[in-house]
Amino acid sequence: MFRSYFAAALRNLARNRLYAGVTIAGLAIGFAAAMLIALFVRDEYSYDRFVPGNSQVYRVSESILNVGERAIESDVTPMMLAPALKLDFRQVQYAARLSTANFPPSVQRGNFSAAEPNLGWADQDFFRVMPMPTIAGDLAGSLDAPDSIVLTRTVARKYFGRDAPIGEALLVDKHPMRVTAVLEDLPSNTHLISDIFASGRSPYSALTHLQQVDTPLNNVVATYVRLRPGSSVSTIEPQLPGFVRRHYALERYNSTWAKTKIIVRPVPLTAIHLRPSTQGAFKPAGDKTVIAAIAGVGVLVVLVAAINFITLMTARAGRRAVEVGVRKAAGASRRDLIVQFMGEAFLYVVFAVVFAIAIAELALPAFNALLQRRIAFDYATDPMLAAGIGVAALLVAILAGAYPAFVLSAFRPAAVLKGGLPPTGGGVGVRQALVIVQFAVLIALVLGAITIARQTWYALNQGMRLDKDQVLFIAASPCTDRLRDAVLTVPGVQRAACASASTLLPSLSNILDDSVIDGRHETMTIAPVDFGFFEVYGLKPLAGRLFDRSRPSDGFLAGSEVNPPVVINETAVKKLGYTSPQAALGHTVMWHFHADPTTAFGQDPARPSQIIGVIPDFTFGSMRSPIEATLYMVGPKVSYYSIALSAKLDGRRIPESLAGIDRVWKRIEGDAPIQRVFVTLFTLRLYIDTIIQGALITIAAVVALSIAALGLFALSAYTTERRTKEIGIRKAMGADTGDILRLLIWQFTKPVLWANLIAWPVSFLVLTGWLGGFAYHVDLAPWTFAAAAGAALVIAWATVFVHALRVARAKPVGALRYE
Amino acid sequence: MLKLTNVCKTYRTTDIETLALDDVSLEIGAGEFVAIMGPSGCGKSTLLNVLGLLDSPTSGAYEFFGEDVAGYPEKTLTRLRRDKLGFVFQSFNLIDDLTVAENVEVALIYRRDAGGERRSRVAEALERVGIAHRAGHRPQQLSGGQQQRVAVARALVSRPKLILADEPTGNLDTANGEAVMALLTQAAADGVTVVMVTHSLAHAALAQRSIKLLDGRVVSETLLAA
Ligand SMILES: Nc1ncnc2c1ncn2[C@@H]1O[C@H](COP(=O)(O)OP(=O)(O)OP(=O)(O)O)[C@@H](O)[C@H]1O
Ligand SMILES: [Mg+2]
Repeated sequence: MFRSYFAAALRNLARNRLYAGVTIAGLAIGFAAAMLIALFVRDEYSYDRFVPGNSQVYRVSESILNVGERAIESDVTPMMLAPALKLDFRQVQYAARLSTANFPPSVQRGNFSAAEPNLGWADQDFFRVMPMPTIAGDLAGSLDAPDSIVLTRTVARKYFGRDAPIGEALLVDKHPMRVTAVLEDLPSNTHLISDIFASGRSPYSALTHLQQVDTPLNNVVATYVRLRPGSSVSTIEPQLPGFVRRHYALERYNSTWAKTKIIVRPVPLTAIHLRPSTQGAFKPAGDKTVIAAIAGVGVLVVLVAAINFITLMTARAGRRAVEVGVRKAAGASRRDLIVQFMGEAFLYVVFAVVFAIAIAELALPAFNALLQRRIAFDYATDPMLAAGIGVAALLVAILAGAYPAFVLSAFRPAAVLKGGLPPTGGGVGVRQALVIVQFAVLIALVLGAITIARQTWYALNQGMRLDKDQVLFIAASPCTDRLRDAVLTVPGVQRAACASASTLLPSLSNILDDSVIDGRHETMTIAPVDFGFFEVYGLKPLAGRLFDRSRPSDGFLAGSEVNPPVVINETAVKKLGYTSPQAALGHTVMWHFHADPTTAFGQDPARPSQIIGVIPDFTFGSMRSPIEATLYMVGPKVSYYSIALSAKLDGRRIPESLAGIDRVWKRIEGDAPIQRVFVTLFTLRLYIDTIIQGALITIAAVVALSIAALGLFALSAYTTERRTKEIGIRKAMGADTGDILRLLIWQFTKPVLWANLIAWPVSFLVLTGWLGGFAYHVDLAPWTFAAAAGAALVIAWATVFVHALRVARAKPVGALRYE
Repeated sequence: MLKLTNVCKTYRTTDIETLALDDVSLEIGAGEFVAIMGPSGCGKSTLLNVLGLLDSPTSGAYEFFGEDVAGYPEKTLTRLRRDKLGFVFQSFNLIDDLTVAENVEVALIYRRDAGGERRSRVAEALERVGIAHRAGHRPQQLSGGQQQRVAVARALVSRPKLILADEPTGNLDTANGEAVMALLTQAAADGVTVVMVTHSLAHAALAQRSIKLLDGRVVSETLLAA
């Protein structure tokens, strides 16, 4: 019996190559897209599982609450945390810190050298906390010696041309270090970014430097612990508040610090990636809502493909009515026929899955390049993945096969066997509804893609409210007056100014202060800048004036009893309760400035400074967080307050200007490689996740669009063919080609119009929610809705037009004889 | 063996109601060869559908091989069709996607016979209708007469007790029509009950009895053969 089913199915498939091809192609493309999306989702949930014994490993993070402010979720902690945890809790077997170098060190072997932004300084026990797959050397003890360094395979090849240069020497910022172990390259699904791990015990390591400026609020290193086997984190957690009181003792410090509340939180290693943070993350965290949305898009694409399958199968059902009638007359029960047609659905799905796997394999390298990951499609070795694909395919086959099987098996033999016109299968209404759903999904995806693109564009451009065109960042630690003035002499450089990390990298480093104005305490962000900084970015004062280089008292003066004057932003004006920018001028603000290197951090008294100007709000940070109330002032040129030079080029001879800047750099900074990047490129990094989301959804939309177009093409071919007789009669009655064309095109326009009724409100709600995650965002523009609807209409018309024109043009005689 | 008592069949569409069978009472004995005649639209196909359990009467009783099938669930009707019935249609109704042999086999597969047994019976049936040399062809590759012979083979292969043929020669030329009639006559001679709708007096004359329908009523019965 199954041979008969199988033969009928295969030959039916072969005879209706167009329909079968379209159905299978649609399913295959849909499955392939869904597979890639599933791989992405699995990847998001598999971070850091490559570390053996990861269930006992925690990164210890902090929540920092300033009174009246949003909490800062910090992935980085003070230096003292790791040793203190090890000392206080016997459950902690190993504790280790990892610092990523602030300023990329240069690594040299022979006469080959390069800047290594991903060099991390790690404590001796780092690899005891986090063992990793190793190619050569003894990893556990690999950081014991102060001059030891551990490389990944790629880095080893880069400097030595081979995989295991154990015992060989490298110069890190001119200091010799010895390779003790080589790691496999880290997978892309880890929160770590380092590819070189250097021993923190080295006297010139970042850890050693940071030890000297360690205070309870100087969050500079990632802290990791491994608990003893059998120990549970729940035995530590209750004791952490007491631990914080003992070790942080913030009441010893000035009013800003004394008001700060710290919560120490052990985060399981495998949970790091999906935990949002506001400070110090190595990589942008994954967002569970976004992952769910992307997974949902994957499901929608499969839905569109499944709907194709259903509409095409039922539309063509009439063709197989005779077969159903004969089989029933021969004694086939309804169940027999359901089994047969479900079997056929499985056959289609199996074909589609095979093609889908091939497509996914081919697309994977490009997909990985887009996501900047190394996701493997290891269905052959991962039974879970293979089973997942199998179960999903089975589910689709059952869901998509059920309705056509139900419709086809319901044909009454007495009706279909008497010959004449074969019936159409199933309710035309059901098919129409499915086409509407398909278009609704399409329209929603197009709307999503447009909105994400608009928001990203906004965030990268107007949203930051500064003119970053042709502005170059040059990392310098510290950025000095000498460097600035030298760069200003380069032809093509219009303006240049230094600024602090607090100004340029607000998501990484943010100085908060408990400031007092007119007797009121308010938390303010302190952002040290340089003379001429606002001018580089085209910012003009709303009231008062900007910092003036010709007035030395506008800048920081060592040993002064007052703080330098401040320029505040609009948000600060509002927060302080002034009715207008003008009203804020001349007032005095008391704030803490750590300017005297001989006093400890957090011990500086509040000193007065005058508000001399107000500038519009702007930010170098993400649109996700609101712009903070900020005090800008000209700070001392030490690395804590001055980390990069912004240079505005005139844009007429960029290569010459860049070469000139490089020469100036070499003259002043010597051999250290220059780190420079255009600001526009630099800010892209803030939205890389949004850009990837946008790309994924755009791809999904294009895939869904092409599947739906394919399905519509076949469906319209079929329905126009069915209406040939009607068209013949209408033409005999005097309708012209245009009339017929309108008739047919209207038939396919209606579902698109209905689809908008579903897609618009749903998209409106979802996209409003998504945009709500941004403190500054575009509004949903009506034109985008019209555009999405228009795109769907164009697709519908384009696919229908070909058939419609052919049929509409045919001679009525031919059409009438056709049936 | 087949017994219709006061059978009515009405078709209801939105605007009109058609009385396709009007109080038909009829008895057909085992091994009989019956021809049904009448003008177009008089209800011949409807009668055949009722006899073949493809359609149920609106009122009246139908005794099928001694069983009153009124109110039988579709499942039971399906089993009865599978075990006892063979159909031949005017429009052949062969499945385009199957070969000649596979089309014939369709009459057997739902009986869950063993595969080997099935194949030998299919071969035998094709032999009998003289189309064995075309076993691997598709229906479209055959002439109308050949197609109808395949349809007859399909009706015969399950060794049914009853063959229902709705204008089996309606689409055929004289020679092909004769060939198909010869097959049906032979089946009747072998003891199968054959009920056949035809417009041809000559073909009706080959039957033992001819029933004439008009507007859904039986207007005359003629006993022909000895
Ligand atoms: N499915 C149906 N719905 C409504 N009316 C029907 C249906 N099938 C048949 N009829 C009507 O029932 C009557 C008998 O139809 P039937 O098909 O039995 O005629 P027939 O004697 O076989 O005619 P022909 O020789 O043309 O095949 C006709 O008037 C027809 O219009
Ligand atoms: Mg008829």
